[in-house]
Amino acid sequence: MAKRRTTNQTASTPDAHQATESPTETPIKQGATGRYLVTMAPGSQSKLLKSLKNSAGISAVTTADNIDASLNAETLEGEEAVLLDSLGVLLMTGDDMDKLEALNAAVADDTNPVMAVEEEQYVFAIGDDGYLTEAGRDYVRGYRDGVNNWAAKLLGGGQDGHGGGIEASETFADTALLTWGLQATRVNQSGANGAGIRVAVLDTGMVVNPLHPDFAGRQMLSASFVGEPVQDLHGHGTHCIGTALGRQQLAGGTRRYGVAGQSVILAGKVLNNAGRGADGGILAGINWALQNGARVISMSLGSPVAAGAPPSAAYENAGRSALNAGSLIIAAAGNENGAPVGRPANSPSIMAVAAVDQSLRRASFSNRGINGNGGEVNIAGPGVGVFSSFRMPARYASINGTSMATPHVAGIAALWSQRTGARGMALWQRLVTSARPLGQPARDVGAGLVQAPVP
Amino acid sequence: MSERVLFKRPFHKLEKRKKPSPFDMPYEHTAMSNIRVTVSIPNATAARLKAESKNLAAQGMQIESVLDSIGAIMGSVAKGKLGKLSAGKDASIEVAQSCEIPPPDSLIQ
Repeated sequence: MAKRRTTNQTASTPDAHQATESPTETPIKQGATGRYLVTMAPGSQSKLLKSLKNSAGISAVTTADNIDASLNAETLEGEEAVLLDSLGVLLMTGDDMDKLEALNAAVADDTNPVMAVEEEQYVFAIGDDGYLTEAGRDYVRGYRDGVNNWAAKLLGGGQDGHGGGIEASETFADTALLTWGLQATRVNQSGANGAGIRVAVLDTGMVVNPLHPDFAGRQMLSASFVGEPVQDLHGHGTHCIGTALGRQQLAGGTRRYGVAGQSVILAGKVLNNAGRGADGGILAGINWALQNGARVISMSLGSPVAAGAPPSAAYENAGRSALNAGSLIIAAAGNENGAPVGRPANSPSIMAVAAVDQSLRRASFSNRGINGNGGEVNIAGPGVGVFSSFRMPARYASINGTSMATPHVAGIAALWSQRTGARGMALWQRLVTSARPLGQPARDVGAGLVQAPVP
Repeated sequence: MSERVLFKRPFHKLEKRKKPSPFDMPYEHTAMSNIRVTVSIPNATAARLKAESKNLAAQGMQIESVLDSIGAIMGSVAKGKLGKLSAGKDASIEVAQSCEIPPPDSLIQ
């Protein structure tokens, strides 16, 4: 298992921010704080404390339970190590290099719950000094778009004599080489290809007999849980597998449509050729995917739920089991024209994906985060006019749906996992923190449009 | 509200009935009129799942599969016994559900 380690290098700080203008001004704190964040796999508090003691000799740990309810920077100051066990995060001082080295070694140990060690960074409100990272610029653009959108609604779109202030939206289109979705998510700029990562797509199976020509030579496992052969006579599963896992270069001049072209394909048939499935087969498919080492499980399926409906205990349990095993389940929010996020995407431990169109607007059919307790939209993916592989003899099809947005996110999750070693909840965090803000309500698009790691 | 029109087509033009499929009836019902259920147990060990399966079988549940990696026991139970079915601490019992995606020629999937 690849996990994330760190070095003890201090983050570089722009020269313009190193010195203070006058002795009376408070220096702006930027870069590393000198403390470290240790991300740990989920587990009981006693188990985490025990592993910290055994692997790095860290015993003076204050647990969040023992700290005053108003946990803040001041309360953390002076504590050698604070365990926020509900988050699976240990915050510790960087004074003891031996302990940091030991933690780094623990990261490499698959049996140890220590998943990653990172330097804590100062986070600050954006000032007027113009210093912004690229991520910060994206955030500000998203904020600007949102405010403009809101202002346009209130002012009637340009009728105030100021033109409404709405900048033309960025619009994407398929080219001879690439689908619009791969461009919008920057997959084409990413050097990652998902090699070594197993991705399960639980759907209507895959065109395997004979194998779809675009997947010749690919490493693949398959299984059916619906009493029919894996062969996909519907096309939906082959389309989703194509988006998540289609290769980078195709014969015959076909444009690239796949994200993680070197990942191992796990094709689980949990919907029959009529497109119908049931909890028994879907849960069995998740079980199979976990037993076969899937780092990412993509499920473009679901059923509608009513406003206020709670999530399913069985799917929530499955989602938690997956996260505990270092896997991430990603599911479609549903296509009921703004209805609540469907089941099982409404489980708190399953990532719910909405769809956006070529102008990066929420697709009209895409469901919304109306219910709480897991019923939120977490992220968005390209879901309109999505070109990908399909059943034979058609071979290709362009279709729409949150089903098409979901495998974009799943494939990009494989890229992030390959690039950073992140898995489970750490992978979830990677996806949402790197998403491109769209200036639209979070209940429509969650954190924004999923983005691939770029060098 | 408009009146429902029954038997829009004459009887002799009705299609010959296909071979029954498990999906011809609501998924939650089995052929024996049992109700399909999923019992899920957070953080369950294999031993706990085995013990719970035995416990559920003793209450009349027909066990179809035990999913070790996600702590789930699948099976069915007679309708009259569903309300009385009980599992151990933290376990949840749910009636299983089905889902369906649109046909291949649908523009929205």
